[in-house]
Amino acid sequence: MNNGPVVFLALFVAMAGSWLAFVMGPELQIGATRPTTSIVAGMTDEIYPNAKPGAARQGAEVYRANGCVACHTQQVQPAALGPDINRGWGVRRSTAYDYLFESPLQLGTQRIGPDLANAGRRMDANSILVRLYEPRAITPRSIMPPYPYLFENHKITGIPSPDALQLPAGFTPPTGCEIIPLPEARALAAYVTSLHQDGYLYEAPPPVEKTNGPPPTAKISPAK
Amino acid sequence: MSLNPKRNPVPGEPAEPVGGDGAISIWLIAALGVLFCWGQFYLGRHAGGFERAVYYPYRSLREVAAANPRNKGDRVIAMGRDVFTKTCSVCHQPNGMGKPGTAPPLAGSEWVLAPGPNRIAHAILNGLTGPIIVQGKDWNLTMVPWKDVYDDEHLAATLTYIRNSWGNKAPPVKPEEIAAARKDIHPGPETAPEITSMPEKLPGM
Repeated sequence: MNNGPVVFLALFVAMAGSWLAFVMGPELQIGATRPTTSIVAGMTDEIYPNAKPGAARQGAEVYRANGCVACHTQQVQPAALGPDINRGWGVRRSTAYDYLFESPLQLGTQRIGPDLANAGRRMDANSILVRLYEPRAITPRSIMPPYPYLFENHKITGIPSPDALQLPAGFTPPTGCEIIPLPEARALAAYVTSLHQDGYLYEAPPPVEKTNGPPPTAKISPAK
Repeated sequence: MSLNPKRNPVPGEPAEPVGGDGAISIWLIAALGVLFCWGQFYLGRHAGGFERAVYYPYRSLREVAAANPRNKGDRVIAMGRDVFTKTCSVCHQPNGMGKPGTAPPLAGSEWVLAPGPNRIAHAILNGLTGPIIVQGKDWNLTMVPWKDVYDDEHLAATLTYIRNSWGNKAPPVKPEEIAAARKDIHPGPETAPEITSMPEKLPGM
């Protein structure tokens, strides 16, 4: 190598520059983000965001292990940049606050399935479990793969389990059997139900009200 | 690149390439300078001063402050929307249109748009069960009580919000009206005949 010191210096500057720009810069900018009460100019005293319950934290690992992030994002675009909010995927854009308790951070890049940033506000645990067991039981043409290995097919002995999956007609197991979600499936459902990005923040104030409902009816006295 | 015969230690092998001493074109430096200036200009214009509270589509702290609710009426609506989004919209849907088998609509509902909030306040505080007619359609569901979840201020803001959203238009609701309805609390949910027997608007409110 003819110019060792120069090459070293160039590499050092390149590494230091990247570190300053991609580690130090963001740390200075949003590193001090903490749960806040600044929701809607201090009108509500709720802290946002909240730490996740233990089952949801275990579920985040199941989410990671099964590669959910490959098809599902967890970020809502601002209304001016995309249709997310019109689709009902969120009430406001995502901000740094929304990910304070997400670890590992699983933002996702591809939307082969719907965005899950507010999945906890759209689905309950049973609906999520049914989708995991057989997505087409709820969405007829879903391309999501089923995850049957997160469930167990039991023979009913004695009284049926209260945890058995409530499947819609046509997808029920044979008579005398029941589908029981394994702990992994239940943790994953707890994680997905814990997802919501709906605390109104000073940074992302509520959008301007749109009236997409029907025109108000005349004031009828609801007698009878 | 040029071949320097002096730096060829092994006879017969190709010479090692070395850098030439030609000057860089002044136009390349000028083009880089223009790109740099444009980059800085773009950042100055769109980066919001690198403030952590500035997110797209806002471009400065002043724009963020302007978008936040400033007067009391705006804040009440924002508070009501906050409660509605977290709680009510799960069944009544974010657009207030309700869902068959889950909850009746609030948009255009004659119960919501009554001159006073007394009947619907009772329904929200105590819950509501049994058959009820909303906009000419029969519903027979159950709503849980919310009297222990939200205080008067939050419930009044929520009612003000649902009475003034999705095309609804009705006078705002005062926390005192919720407090008055809260006084005659009874165990178990209300039914449609029960709340119909109450006045729509309490006198003096």
